[in-house]
Amino acid sequence: MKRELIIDGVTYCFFYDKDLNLWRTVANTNLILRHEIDLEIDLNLLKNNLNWEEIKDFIAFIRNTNYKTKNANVTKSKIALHGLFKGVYRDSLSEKIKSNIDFDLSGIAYKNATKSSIGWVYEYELLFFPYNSTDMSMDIGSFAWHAKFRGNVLYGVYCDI
Amino acid sequence: MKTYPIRKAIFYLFFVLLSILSSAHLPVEGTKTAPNTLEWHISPSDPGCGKAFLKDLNDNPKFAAWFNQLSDQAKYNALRAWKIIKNKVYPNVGHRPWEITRQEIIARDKPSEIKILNAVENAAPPTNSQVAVAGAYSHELGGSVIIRYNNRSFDVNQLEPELKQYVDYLQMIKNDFDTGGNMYKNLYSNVPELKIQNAGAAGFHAEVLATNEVVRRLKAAGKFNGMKDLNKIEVLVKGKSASFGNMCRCPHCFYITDGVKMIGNQ
Repeated sequence: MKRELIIDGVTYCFFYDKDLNLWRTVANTNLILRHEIDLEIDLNLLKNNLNWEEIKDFIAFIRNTNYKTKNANVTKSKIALHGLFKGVYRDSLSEKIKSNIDFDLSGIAYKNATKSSIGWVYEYELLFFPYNSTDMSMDIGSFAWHAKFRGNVLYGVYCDI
Repeated sequence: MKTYPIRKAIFYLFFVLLSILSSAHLPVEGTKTAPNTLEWHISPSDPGCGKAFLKDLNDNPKFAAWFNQLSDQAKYNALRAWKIIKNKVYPNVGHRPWEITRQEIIARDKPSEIKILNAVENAAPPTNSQVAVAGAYSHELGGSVIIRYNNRSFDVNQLEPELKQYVDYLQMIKNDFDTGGNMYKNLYSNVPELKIQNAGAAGFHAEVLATNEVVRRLKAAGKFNGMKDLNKIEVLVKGKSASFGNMCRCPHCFYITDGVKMIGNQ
């Protein structure tokens, strides 16, 4: 199954993965500048039924959030994830390696929309993979690290370990 | 003087047999004697094996408790897993840049590898939860390359017996680590803490699932007759993130797919 959404003249082509029960559009370069990211909608985790109008509005929200705010969201996420990373690998990695860890933004997972006094607020996660900036080949696990957002407010981080 | 070497050989043989029998019947915690299956596996050429196994049991009470509650058949499997995994050194390598592996495959120009490379590169990229895609192929089967992704909800009981045989043992070591134990230090060779910490549950990674499907098809075609035939299978793994590239295997996958020809990385 395939679904196309046109937002501000840009076409987002979603494909459905029936094994995962997940819709996604891959390698988008126009959601967060300088990042090639996927947008995923896991129907197993969606709080409400899938509403494509809601998804359109969410994409418009991401697109229309100004560059500085989006950049700050990525930076805030990395700082919080780095804290989590240091805790998770407290005993198994040296301080030097932990200080060299950076996170590569890989995707957005859409979660939910709730009506508030200021309008619709979107819940989503920015998805990252860590890497050692001084040794890209280092194996530091093959699972995603999540930064949870409500609108532009970061409210939690976790990883899939 | 001429009979001396024969006497010496008989004398040596006597001690070897004595060593085997004594090590096979050392008491195991919770049982009166070691299981009969233990005797089967202690090779006359390696009489120290039984003692080493019993030492590991005695040094790791959780291992002994786990082992002792197994059925005889499961003990047999666990003992075999112990021997293989204890003695086969984990390479503990990192990921390889995809472009390097890609160029090497192209330079070798081996049809099966080119076929797998094309299939992996043209497959749908993994999702952020899948992370990795693997292509597996056997020239004895022909046909298309089998593509699989990491799948955390995969039921490992669906693995073919040849791939399933070490899973319980590997998972036992992982469970021990996750609950603060360090059994991995004794039971593995060259597996650092970071690798066991990140290994995840045993048996759901892409390379295992792709290999499993090829094994299943080889069996259906009557072309798989045991572990040695795992070398009829070639596997290539690609990660989602640029830093993953041609991914290395975690300790679990390394032992589960031991014998498979891994392309590029180990």
